[in-house]
Formats: sequence, C-alpha cells, structure tokens
Amino acid sequence: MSDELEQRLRSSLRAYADLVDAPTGEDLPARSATPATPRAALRRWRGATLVAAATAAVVAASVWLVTGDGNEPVAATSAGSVESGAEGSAELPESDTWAAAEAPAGPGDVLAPPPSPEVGVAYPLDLLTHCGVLGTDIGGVWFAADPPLVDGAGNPPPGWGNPYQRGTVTLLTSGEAVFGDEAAHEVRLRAADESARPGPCD
Amino acid sequence: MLVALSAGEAGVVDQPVAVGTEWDGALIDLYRAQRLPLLRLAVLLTDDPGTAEDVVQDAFLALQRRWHAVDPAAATGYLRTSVVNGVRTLYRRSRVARRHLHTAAPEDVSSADLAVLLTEEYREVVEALRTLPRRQREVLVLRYWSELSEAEIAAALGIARGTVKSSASRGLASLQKHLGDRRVR
Repeated sequence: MSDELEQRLRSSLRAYADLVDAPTGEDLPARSATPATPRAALRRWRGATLVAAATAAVVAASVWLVTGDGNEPVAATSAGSVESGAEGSAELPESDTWAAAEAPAGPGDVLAPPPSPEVGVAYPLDLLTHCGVLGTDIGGVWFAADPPLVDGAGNPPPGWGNPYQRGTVTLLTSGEAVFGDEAAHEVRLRAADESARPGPCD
Repeated sequence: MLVALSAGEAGVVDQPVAVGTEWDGALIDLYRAQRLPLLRLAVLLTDDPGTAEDVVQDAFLALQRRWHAVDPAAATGYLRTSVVNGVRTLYRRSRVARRHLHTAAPEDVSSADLAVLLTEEYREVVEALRTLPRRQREVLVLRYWSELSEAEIAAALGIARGTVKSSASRGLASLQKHLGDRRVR
C-alpha cells in the first residue's frame, strides 16, 4: 500500500510540475527587476513613519500645553521627551542601523556559507536570530553558539537584528567557527551533535 | 552592479555587458539549465507561479553575488536551498503580516489554480499535499519529485536526517489517511 502511495505521489508531483511551462523570456535576472519586498518597503517608509509619529506627538503636546491646567514642570518634561524621541527616530543606535540597513532584503537574499566551506575564509552569513542566537548550519553541520544568546523570551538580546543579523562566519578549525558583524558582535560557534540542533523556529 | 543585456533575438540570452559583477559563462549555463526545474520546485512548494518566479530570480541573484565563493559543483544544491529558504521566508512574513493586518490566509483564497488542470487522481494527491504542515510537504516534494536522498534533504532544509525520516513518514501517513477518507466519502 505504501509503495502504491509513493508511486502515486511521484506521478502526481511530476504531472503537477509539468504544468509549469518553460518561461518565455530567458533574460537574466536583474536587481531592478526584483519586486520590492515587504521588508524593503517597510525600510523605505520607516523614516517617514517615525517622523510623522514624532510630529503627531509634538502637536499633541502643544495642544496639551494650550489646554492644560498650567502644570508647567510636567509640560516641560513632556516636550523634552518628544524632542528626544524625534532625535532618536532620525538616528537609530548603531547596531539597529546596521541591522536595518543590511538585513536580507528578499526571500533569496538570505546569505549562507557554501556547502563545502574552507577554513579561514570569511563567508557572508545572515545568522538566524529569530528565536535567539543559537547557532548556525555550516556545510551541513550544526555549529552551536557558545554561549547561546537569548533574552529569556525566545528572542535575541537587544541590539541584534531579528529575524536575521548579517555578518560573516569564519571556520577557525573544522570544529570551531566565529561569527562577527559590523556592530562588533562576536559569537563563538562549536560543531555539535545533530541532537543539539534546535527545532524549527517559526 | 549588475549586468545590462544587449538587445537580441527573443528567447536568446545575449552575452551580458559587464557592469561590475559579471554573469560568467558557467553561471549563465547554470541559469539556463536550472531555471525551469527550480521554478517547478517552487511551484510545488507555493502553488503560485508568480511567487515561484520571484523566489527563483532572487535565488539566482543571491548566487550571482556570491559566485566567486561558491563551488560550481555545489551551485545547484545552493540554489535549491535558496529556493526552499525563500519560500519559507515568504510564508513567515505573510504569517506575520496576517497576524497584524488580519488578512486572509492564502489557503482561504481561491485563486487561479494550476492543479485544476490535473486529472482527478493527481489533483486529489496535490490537494492532500496542501493540507500537510510545511516541513512535511517540503520533505515529500524533495524526496518524491527532486528524488533527493535523506542526507541531501537534510542538508537542503538544514534539519537532521532523523527529522527528514519522521517528517516523510508522518507526511505519507497523513496523505494516506486523507486520500482514504476521500475515497470513503
């Protein structure tokens, strides 16, 4: 029965796949042809959104000042907060700026080492951090972070990109590697048994 | 950074005009040979030819950027993994978007569906496949369409061989049950 099912599955997948015709054009893909991804769009709008939010906050504070009961110390504090909030929105902390600027822009943009990495070569890597900095796959081997970095709620610590942090990974030996990035994060990675590989992070 | 293509006959890839990083001959050959199989793989995982095309294009662009560091012999595997990761990333993002925007899930939307062109026997299997958890579907597609070994699937998906085995087993059991139930109805 199982053989029959496997054969039926094979035939069905083949028939389904055969419905996909060869694309008519053979133009090589170009960056400009790639549609804007949600993340890229979000990045483009982030600045404007934050400025708009800061402006709204300033207006709200002004209205409060005009209609308030004259409690000036509180009003001054409130205005000060708004100003610093606006400044903060214009310039993110260094690590966040890096993460925002360099995080994978599209589905296929996630960087990974080649299947057969060489010792001593720094390979670009989008380190999956969505459930914390736990480790990464290098050449089919799980390298566990030593120590793993998790904020206690299943997220990476503050200052790390999420779901990815872009940087490089370098094999120091066949069993040891190091991840580093421009935000000065550095994580030691050690080859681990398959049983140490964490489950899917969704 | 990327190349510009000179105009030529329709359907023929002209020699690229190098602007920065080139598409060298081997990469162009790989593109010609692997574009369709990867497109089909992406459709088997997404059911959406448009999305599949985007994912495959992104995979080639990612490979092109790293072409200097990739062993050409391993490039097909790299592309395959890139496509699977691309599909996953897409699903993860759409799930987050749905959570925040309260939009309909893709499975709730009836759209132009290639599978309606299949015979009933095949269509039943494809529809049953769509009910499986994402990982089980990935494993079954890579096993029974791409004809990869357990080790190759484990490498492509970044999971343990034991997980490949258990996902395949559970996926087949669910398919069997689903198809059996349909027979009964």
